[in-house]
Amino acid sequence: MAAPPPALRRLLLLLLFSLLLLASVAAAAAAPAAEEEEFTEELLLRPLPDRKALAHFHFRSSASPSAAAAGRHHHVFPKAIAQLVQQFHISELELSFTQGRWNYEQWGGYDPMSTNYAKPPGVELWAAFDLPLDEIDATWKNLTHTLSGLFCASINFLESSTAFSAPRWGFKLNEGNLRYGALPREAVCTENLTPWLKLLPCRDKAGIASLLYRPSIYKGYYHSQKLKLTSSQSFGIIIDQTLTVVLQPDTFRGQQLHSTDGQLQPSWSMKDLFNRKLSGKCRVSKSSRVFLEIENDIVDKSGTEASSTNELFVLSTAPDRVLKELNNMDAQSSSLYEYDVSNYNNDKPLDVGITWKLPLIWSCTPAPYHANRFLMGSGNERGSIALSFRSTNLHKQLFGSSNDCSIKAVVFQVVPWYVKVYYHSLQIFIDGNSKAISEVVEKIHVTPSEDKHLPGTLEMLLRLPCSMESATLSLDFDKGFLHIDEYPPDANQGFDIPSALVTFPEFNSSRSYPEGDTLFVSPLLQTFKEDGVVKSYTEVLLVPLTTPDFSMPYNVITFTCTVLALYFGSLLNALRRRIGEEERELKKAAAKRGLIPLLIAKLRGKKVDPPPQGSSPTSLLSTKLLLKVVFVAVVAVSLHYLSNS
Amino acid sequence: MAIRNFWSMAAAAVGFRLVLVLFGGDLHLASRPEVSTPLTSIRRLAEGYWLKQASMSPYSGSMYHGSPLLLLVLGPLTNKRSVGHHDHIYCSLIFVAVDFIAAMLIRATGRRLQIARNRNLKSLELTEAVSNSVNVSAGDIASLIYLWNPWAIVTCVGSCTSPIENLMVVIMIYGACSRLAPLAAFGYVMATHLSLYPAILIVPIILLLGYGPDAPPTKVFRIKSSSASKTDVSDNDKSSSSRDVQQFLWKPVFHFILWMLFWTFYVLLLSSIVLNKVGGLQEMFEKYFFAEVFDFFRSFFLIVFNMNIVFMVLPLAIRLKHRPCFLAFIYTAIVAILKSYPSVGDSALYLGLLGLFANELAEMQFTFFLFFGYIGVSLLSPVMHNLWIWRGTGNANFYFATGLAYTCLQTVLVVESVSSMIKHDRKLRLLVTA
Repeated sequence: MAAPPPALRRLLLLLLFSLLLLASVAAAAAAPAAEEEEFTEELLLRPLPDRKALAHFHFRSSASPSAAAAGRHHHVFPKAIAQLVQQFHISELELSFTQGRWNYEQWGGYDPMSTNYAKPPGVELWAAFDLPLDEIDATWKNLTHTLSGLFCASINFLESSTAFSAPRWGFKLNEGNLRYGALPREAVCTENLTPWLKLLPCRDKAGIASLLYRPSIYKGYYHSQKLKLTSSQSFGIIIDQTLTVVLQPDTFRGQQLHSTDGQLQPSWSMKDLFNRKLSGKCRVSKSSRVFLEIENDIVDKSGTEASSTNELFVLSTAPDRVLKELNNMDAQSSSLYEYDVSNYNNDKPLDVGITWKLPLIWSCTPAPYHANRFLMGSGNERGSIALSFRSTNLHKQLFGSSNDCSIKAVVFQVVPWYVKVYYHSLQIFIDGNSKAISEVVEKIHVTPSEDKHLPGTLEMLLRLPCSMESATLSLDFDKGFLHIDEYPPDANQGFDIPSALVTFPEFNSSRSYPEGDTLFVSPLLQTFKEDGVVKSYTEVLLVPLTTPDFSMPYNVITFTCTVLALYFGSLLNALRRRIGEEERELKKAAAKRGLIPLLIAKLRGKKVDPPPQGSSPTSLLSTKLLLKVVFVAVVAVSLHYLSNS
Repeated sequence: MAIRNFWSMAAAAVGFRLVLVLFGGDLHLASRPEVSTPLTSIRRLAEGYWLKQASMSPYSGSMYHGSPLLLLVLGPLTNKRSVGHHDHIYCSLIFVAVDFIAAMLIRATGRRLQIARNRNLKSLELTEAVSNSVNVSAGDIASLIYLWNPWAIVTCVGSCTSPIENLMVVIMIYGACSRLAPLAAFGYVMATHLSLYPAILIVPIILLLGYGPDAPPTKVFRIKSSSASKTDVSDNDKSSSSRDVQQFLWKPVFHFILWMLFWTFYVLLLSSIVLNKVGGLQEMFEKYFFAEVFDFFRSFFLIVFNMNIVFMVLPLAIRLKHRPCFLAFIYTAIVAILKSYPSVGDSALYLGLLGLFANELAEMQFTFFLFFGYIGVSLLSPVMHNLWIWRGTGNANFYFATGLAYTCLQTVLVVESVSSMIKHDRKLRLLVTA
């Protein structure tokens, strides 16, 4: 290629120079923006009483109001989310993908982890909008499609008005600007994790997220991936991305341990859980920390005040700091062993682990009531939904053993329209005795379902007596029929009713830890400290519905039309029949024999009767016939004329 | 020829119902699809009443589709539960009374028809010729059929609201037969308000009020009077009396229309009072009439069905205008065949009315086939439903087949009764000309 002429060369140089200048200006502009956008990464590990281990990843990205408002360029904050917030005027949003069910009895129901991060199976999405009330439904529909594209999931199924509801107080107190939807059958897989990781500045290439080795996190017992977004004028946009997994530590290879009698708890480390060690932090993160949480019961028993080696267990690495929960009541509390990842690197990777010295049994504090939900009845015509509460006597530990008190519980339940709930059939049994509704239900709000349009929503505030051991609520329902093309491909599998949510507003599971660093507050500990009303989700119900014979429509159409034709034809025939005239016609026909019968009769030698009447009727007939022919001809000609003109 | 033990048999029927209601336990009849439809189910009414008590519109959601007046009357009764009985026992007791009243009105209608028939036969001088063959008290038979019809019993015990709809239709026919315009208008307005289909009964009602109860065709009278004038010109009485029969009286029709307007106004007023707190009449029109009735028109199939009801109104009215009561029976039967949510309660009504024409339809064909067909279908249908819904061993085709067979039977019944009624008229004419 020939060299460019000197004039052009000068122009190119000028262009290059101006580009350089622009870049430096942009860098200068980005420098303060980087301070306005923050990213922190944290990991919490916790041994669970049933020989499993919980790992909770917490990533927070935040953009200050000015950075969020600028909108065009972001340093570490994901641009997709910033645009989402701007486009849909979201004030709060929570999206969770969950596989498996949180075991409230074993893993606890009264700590920040279970109240905030135990989610119903499948996808749950709720969002509060900062918009006029009449625009919210349309915005929600657009939002579901956007999220569906962003997270490679079928969240767009929540677009249909049969799939989402607008709870007023049962889920979260709001002024009608909140929408809630759940897809219990959504399968969660790596294809949902990858777009979620894309929102992190280091993805899973460096920092704590590099521990997310797919085979190990997907073989866990519980897997919940959540995105929580809050946006406001005062503090900008904050995204909390969390991943909570319950894993079976892989220490005793080939040897399954399930009985708890006198056995040692499995000793594990990060290497066992994730098949990886942690080698340094994500460079752009402001802080990168790992916590190991041990129940205070254990720590107290171990004698020595919160050290890394004691009679009960040994920590593989000495912690940088030990945080003990402040003002802990009689309920469960815990200590945190903190590690700062910035102190570790490739040569000296961090591998937090715990080795147990003595066999140990402990239990997590449960929620005030174990809530279970199940179906009753058989057949495909009707059934009942029962919600049962089993007391765990937690209130006795917390508030002493007074039996006159009562405990509030809020039930929130969304039922699809094809399960037609009769709300008047609500029955309440306390310790097996039927109670009047007004004795127990303090407040109830029902949005009845509309066929193919709205799901039914039930919000109920119950006041359960403290002395009660168990309570059961039952609601009857009829199963509806779906249109033939509304059935999913595997129709005989049944249909899922999303989990109900039970909230205990009088119980708060928040925990606060002393802050070592006054300048920086750990987002993880901050969420622990925030108001955490105790919640628990019930099971998803599987309702089998009647399936039609899918080849039926053709049969139905043909047979029904046949019967209709039969009805129509035979009734009209019966109506227009003149029996007298028919008899006359028959006689006439008999009289007017054809030529061939006449011949046959002659051949047989029979005498042929002459026609009884004279020729006058036949001539009359012929004139009638002539008139008819003329009439038809006139009609035809006029029609022809009309159609031509 | 009256039935001898009428009262004891009627009492036995009522007693049988009471025994089933009080001691039958919960037979789960209220949730059978043959007995209660989404439009007549008492459980849905209870749900509507509950919603209304919770100061919501009873039509919010798609549970309740009935009239607001039923909520007013039956709603409070659905709340009361007595130990050891099924949930809606008080409603069932009301329905027993309603059935009894309906049966009595059918009997009274039958008497009117009988008197008119005897008068007509006398004027045609055919009393001996016809009475020798059959002459039973049609009213007694009809009311006993209504009382002892297993479907009527099942509907009554299973407490769905169709007995009330049936009662309104019967009131309308009775009122029109005895030319009580206010009563007929009340029945007409209420029946139309409760289920809309009886609206087509306006044709027989106006004919009944104008011409009076069923009579042989006017042609027969004309032939008779002409032959009479040929044979005996001086006999003026008979011809004038026969002319009276044919005259269309505008006065009762006019009264009927006035009363109809009054009752319509009254019903709307009552409904608006009932729905006062929850959106008023607009709610009723939007959610009850327009949503439910016109939602039927959603798909082509339902249009075809509902339109077919209307298609046959005019031809039948032209051919059977001299027998308006019979016309009303045929209309109710056609509605029962073709309505979107049919139930056995509708069939109980037209089978009861069928008894009114026992004399005229005595020569009907296929009665044996129809009788056992009805029995067979009513035995097979629950079996097929059970196989499909509860056991999951049969599929919907079998249940559909029983429904189809049932429709065929009803069609045959309608066609046969129409043609035998026409034959009967022809026989009368032949007898007159002979």
